[in-house]
Amino acid sequence: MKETKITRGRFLGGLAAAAVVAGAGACGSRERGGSGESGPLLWLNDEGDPGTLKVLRSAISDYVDQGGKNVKLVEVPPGTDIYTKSLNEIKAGRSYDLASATYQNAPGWAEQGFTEPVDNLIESLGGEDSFLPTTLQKIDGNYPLMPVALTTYMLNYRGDWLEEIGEDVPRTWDQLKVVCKKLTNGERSGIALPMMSGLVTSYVNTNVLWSNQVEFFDEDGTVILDEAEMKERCAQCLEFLKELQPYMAEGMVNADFDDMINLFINEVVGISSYAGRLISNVVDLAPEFAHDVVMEGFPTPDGKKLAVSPYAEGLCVFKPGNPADTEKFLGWFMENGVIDFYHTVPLHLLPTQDSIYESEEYKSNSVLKEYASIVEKQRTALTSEDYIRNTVESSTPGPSRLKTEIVTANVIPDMYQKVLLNDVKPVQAIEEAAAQIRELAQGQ
Amino acid sequence: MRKRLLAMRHMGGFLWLVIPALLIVVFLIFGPLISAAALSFLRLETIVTPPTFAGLENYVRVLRSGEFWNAFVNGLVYSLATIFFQITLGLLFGVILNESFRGRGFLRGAVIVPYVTPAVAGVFLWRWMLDENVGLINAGVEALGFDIGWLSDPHWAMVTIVFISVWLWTPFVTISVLAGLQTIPQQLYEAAQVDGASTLRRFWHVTLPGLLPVLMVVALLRGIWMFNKFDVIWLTTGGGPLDATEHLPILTYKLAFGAFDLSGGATVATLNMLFIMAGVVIYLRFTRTWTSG
Repeated sequence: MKETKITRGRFLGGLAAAAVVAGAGACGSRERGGSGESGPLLWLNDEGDPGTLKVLRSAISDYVDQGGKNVKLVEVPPGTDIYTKSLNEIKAGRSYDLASATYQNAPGWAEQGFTEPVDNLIESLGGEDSFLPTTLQKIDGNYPLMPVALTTYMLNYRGDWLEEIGEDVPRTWDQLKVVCKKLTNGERSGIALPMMSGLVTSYVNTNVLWSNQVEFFDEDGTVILDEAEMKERCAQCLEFLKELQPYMAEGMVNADFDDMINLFINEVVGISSYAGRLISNVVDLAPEFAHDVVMEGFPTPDGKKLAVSPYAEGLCVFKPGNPADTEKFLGWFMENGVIDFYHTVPLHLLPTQDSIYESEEYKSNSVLKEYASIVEKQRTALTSEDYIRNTVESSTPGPSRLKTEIVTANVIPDMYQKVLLNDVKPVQAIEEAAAQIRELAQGQ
Repeated sequence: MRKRLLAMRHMGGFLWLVIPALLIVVFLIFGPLISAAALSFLRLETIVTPPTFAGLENYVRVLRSGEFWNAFVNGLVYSLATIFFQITLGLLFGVILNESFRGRGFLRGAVIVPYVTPAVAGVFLWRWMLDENVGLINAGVEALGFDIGWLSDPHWAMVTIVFISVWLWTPFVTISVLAGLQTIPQQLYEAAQVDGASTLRRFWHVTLPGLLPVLMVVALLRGIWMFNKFDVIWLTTGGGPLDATEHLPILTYKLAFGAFDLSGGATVATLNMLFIMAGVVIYLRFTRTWTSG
């Protein structure tokens, strides 16, 4: 047998050849994987739930079986900065075709002209009226995002504990304070409201602001937070949070989304602000009190209404990609795959279209059957006149890059923390927050 | 002539070996470095819009902001405190583990555990133990009558992240010290003992000078790493509460990806790099004088 001697020259030559092959392979695979007429559509997705991902993959498979163009799920961990990742791809001359989006990241893409409006698709699904209030938001006169699911941030109560203390679900700030006080004892705290720097506070703990009709801007986009009337309203909210502070769980300035769930499941708090995912977790991890959970909006000072924060999660179609084929897929998904998607976390992912709530296919899910009242409560909160619905993004005058920056620059948690941690006077904290918003606006 | 040709041929081979490494250094280290530094002199609306030249505008803006100096001071406090405790404890553990005693092998193995634990796992372990509602440590501390907001009190938050960082990276110093101790000739200890030197004197006059080169490198490396450390602070406090633990790398991230002020973020990152380089130069000068003295 002939022996092959490995010389230095051969070794280096082999190495160089391997590098060339690897480089060419990388370029080739990118070309194959990239959007375009020939390759599959690229769907940038930050969904972390394995069950949900499985359903999405199955929907894609069904679409392909029915003769649709192949779609490749580009899975990234939840919390990935999808906004920047997509822009980087576009800057590099490539683009995803479809991306998970909220009104947090959609305005940035839309304002830079990277999203294909989905107006026609919305029209084909029944038009504006078929979607629940606040789910559709226009930017520059068009809809940049197809709202696929809604999550509703409300207060979650331990109904059995309320019975124990002889109280009903509160409808006014004063009642909420009394309930929190009565729930607090050596073993547990009254309420969990996050104040952490990060998205959690601006998502989960802004109902207190909406409950007192606080707005950051007027219709023209001028900052009004520090104008007399608004300042007074906001100051009342901050004072109220300070009054609730003795009854809050410890460490709220460092509490993230998961803490809101954990504190409730571990029976550390009697009230926790969160969406349907909290009850989903209770059903899975603490079923013994799952039927005792009561979901309700945040009380208002006068008790006339209740406040909720509905967040739409959806998909954006990118213009530099392959918008025609992508829209075709998205339309198919909204009509054929979306109910299975809702069923993956049925108490958390709510339909954005009212008609789906009545669909037999949707209602057939066993969890939905057992906890129908939870979904019905959220649906009521999303439609009834008795509720104030607002979020940072959808507040006047609608989503914008500036609104996104208000969230990412921690304007709201900073304002809360100054008052609750550093004993700064609410008025001063509000003025500083307004100044920060103006500074952000200047930087745009 | 033949010799010269051979030398050139050898040189050619040598270049072939060096060029890949050089290319990697240029493209993967200096490229991004120069790109980031260049970004700090530009005005950039978004990632994709064409930039315009801003001169020193970003530097003036950043250096005038209180947030920057707060982050700088926090970074100094964090890195100096962690280096001090890591080296002190690392030295102590290293010296102890160099002695002969039963179970030394096991302890030598055990001491490295925090270092091989992924930072994210270590951080969450401590976050749970220090949780103010359900944390094991907090329960103990509360039983003693104290109520400490480990991560939610602006004063305690810095203490906590220093503690977690010391726990995670002291083993690196311990291992380095242990390695350094093996290089000190045993005869020096024997001679000192014959001269009647006490244990403390032997440590001061033999061990410490023998370890000095190791300690200097360790202090330098740890200094650079701790001043740049991002994961522990981000995962424990995110720079809060009220910016009490926000240092320059966190500020860089917040500016670039929170406020989408990419030029501002690049400016802070460049200044951070310059501070570290200045620190390294001063440190090397100082230690050179010290060692030669």
